[in-house]
Formats: sequence, C-alpha cells, structure tokens
Amino acid sequence: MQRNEIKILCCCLLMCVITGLIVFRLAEGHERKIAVVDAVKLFDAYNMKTELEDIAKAQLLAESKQLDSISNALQMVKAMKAGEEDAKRLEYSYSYMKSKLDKDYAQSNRDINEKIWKRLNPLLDEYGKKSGLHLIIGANGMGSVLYNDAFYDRTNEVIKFVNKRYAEGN
Amino acid sequence: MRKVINCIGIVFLFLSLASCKKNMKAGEYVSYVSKNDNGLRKNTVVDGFEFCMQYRPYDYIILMESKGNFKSYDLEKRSSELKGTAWFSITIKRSDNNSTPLRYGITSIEEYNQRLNYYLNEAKKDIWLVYDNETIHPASYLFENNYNLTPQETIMVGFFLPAGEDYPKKNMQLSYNDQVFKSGIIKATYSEDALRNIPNLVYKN
Repeated sequence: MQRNEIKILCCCLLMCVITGLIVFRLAEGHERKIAVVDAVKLFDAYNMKTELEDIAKAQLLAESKQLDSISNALQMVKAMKAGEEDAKRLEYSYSYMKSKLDKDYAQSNRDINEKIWKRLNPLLDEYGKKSGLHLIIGANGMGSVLYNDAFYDRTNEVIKFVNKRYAEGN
Repeated sequence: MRKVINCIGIVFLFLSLASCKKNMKAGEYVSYVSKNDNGLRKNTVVDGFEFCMQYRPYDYIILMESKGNFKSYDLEKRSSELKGTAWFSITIKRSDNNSTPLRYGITSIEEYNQRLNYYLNEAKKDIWLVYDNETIHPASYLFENNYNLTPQETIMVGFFLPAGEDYPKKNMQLSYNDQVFKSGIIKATYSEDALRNIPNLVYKN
C-alpha cells in the first residue's frame, strides 16, 4: 500500500467516526424517555396517606364506639322488654348513627384520595421534568399497561422522591 | 516536623473560622432568615395555594417586635421569656395573590364565617411539631386576622421544647393538616445544620 492510499484510508475512517458520533448525538436528542409507575403502589406508599388514614381512623373509631354503646343499650332495652318508646328512640338513634358513620367513612376516603392526588400530580410533573422524561405511564392494574420490564419501571424511585419532598417541604 | 505542625495549625484555624457563626446586621439578618435556601423557610404549593412555614429564631422575633429599636427594648427579659420555646409562622396565600384565602371560592357569608372560625379557634389542633422524634402540640396559637386587607393569612404558633432544651438545635418538623382547602398535611423540616448556621444578630441601632 502506498503512502497516499494509507492517508486516504485514515481520512475515510476519521470521517466515518465523526459521522457516527453526529448520528449518535442526534438520535440521543430525539430519544423519547418513558417511565412506568405503579400508581396503586405509589398511592399506598405515599407517607401522607398513612398519616391521613390514622387521623381519620381516630375520628371514625370514636363514632363507632358511640354506635356500639347505642346498640348495647338497645339490646338491653329489648331484652328487658322495657318501654316501647325508649326502644323506638334508641332504634332511631342507632340508624342515624350508623348512616352517619357510613357517610363519614365514605367521605373521609374521598377526601384522602383527593388530597393525595392533589399532592402527587405536581410532584410527578416535577419528577418527570427533573429526570428528562417525556412520558410517565401510570400502571394501575386495570389494563392500561399490560406489560413492562424493570427497565421502564421507576415506581420505587418515584416513591422515594415524593416521600422526601413530603417530609422536607419545599 | 515544624512544617507539619504549622500546616495542621492553619487547617484548624480555617476550620474554626468556617464553623464560627456569622454576625449580621438587622437587614442582612432578616433576609438570611427569610431566604428559602438557608433552610429556615419552607414553601409548599398545593393546587394554587402557597403555604409558607417560617421558623422564627429568638433574635428574629426580638428584631420584629422592637422594629430594630433596641435601645428602648428589654432584650434580656424578652430572651429569657423565649427560652425553651420554638416559634413559627404559617402563611397561606393564593399563588396569584388575587384573593385572600379566606374569601377564595366561597359562595356565602356563612362559608366565610366558618373558615374564619376554623382559623381563629380550631386550626390549633391540626398543627404539631416533631422535635427530635418527640411530638409536641402548640402552647401558643394566634391567627392574625387582617380583615382581608392583605391577600394572605398568617398563623403564629409556639411550642414548649422538651425539658432541658434552651433553644431549638435538633432536627424538627412542623406539620399542618389543612382542613379548609383539602391540601393534606403540609410539612416543613428544619435540619440541625440549618439551625446551627443561624447567624448572630448584631444588636446595634
């Protein structure tokens, strides 16, 4: 091989490497980053959920104790075959308390859901922007995501992120 | 050997200088305390509502109360009164500053009064402080009723620290369970480092 041919070959190789690098950079720039997050797991693992549930539990427990007391009194009145009017009044109190407890339970569940998603949604936005993601898919076990491998799954990372932000403020 | 000793001495000198608290004048001190980066003020935005939780060091409280006029102020008395307590302000406002939170989205005067009553009398039970793993409930609570003159509402809250603590120096976390705007529990963590780095206020008129 002559000197000139070697020079041409080297130039060609160099050009190939440069072109390859340019193509790689362009492809990287257009890469669509996607992550999948298990929405149910995220919801359950968010520390605010546990804390709100504990607060709601204490309130509902107090109501349920009241209901138990009325129920006991009603049974006693019935067993003793005491005044019918007393029994009627207690029955009314019992059904009122029971429907109140059911209503409060449903309301507290709704409130907790609303509060949690109000907090999680902006945090997910922030996480997506910080991580340079273009799309976060929320898998919820209802068929929206049929399969994803561990490569796309960022559930644990997101749980850590949201809980850290929750505890620290800011 | 002498060189080594000299080097170690210089390193120690630098370290001790670095660990020394800074001295600051009133204006500088206020901007230090109210700056988010210094870890004494935490902002949380939920659904257009901004919750700002500000830790108020003793010097800051004295500065605000005396309005910088230390000559006519009994510094020692006030300092001893504040000993063993931790104070915070919780400010709530709309991010766009368009409306006061008390009036935001209400449909009747009853609703307004309910909100006002909650902040005046009930919100205290929804605030707590975890100081070094110990949960403390407020010893003092005040809702600053500004009669809708400013687009923000401020709550001042104070806690007695556990026995033996002269001033807050350990990790602490303030929590507020917002009942009015359904924002959930708002938390602010103040680290030991942030508390240790609070500068000294130069009491000069």
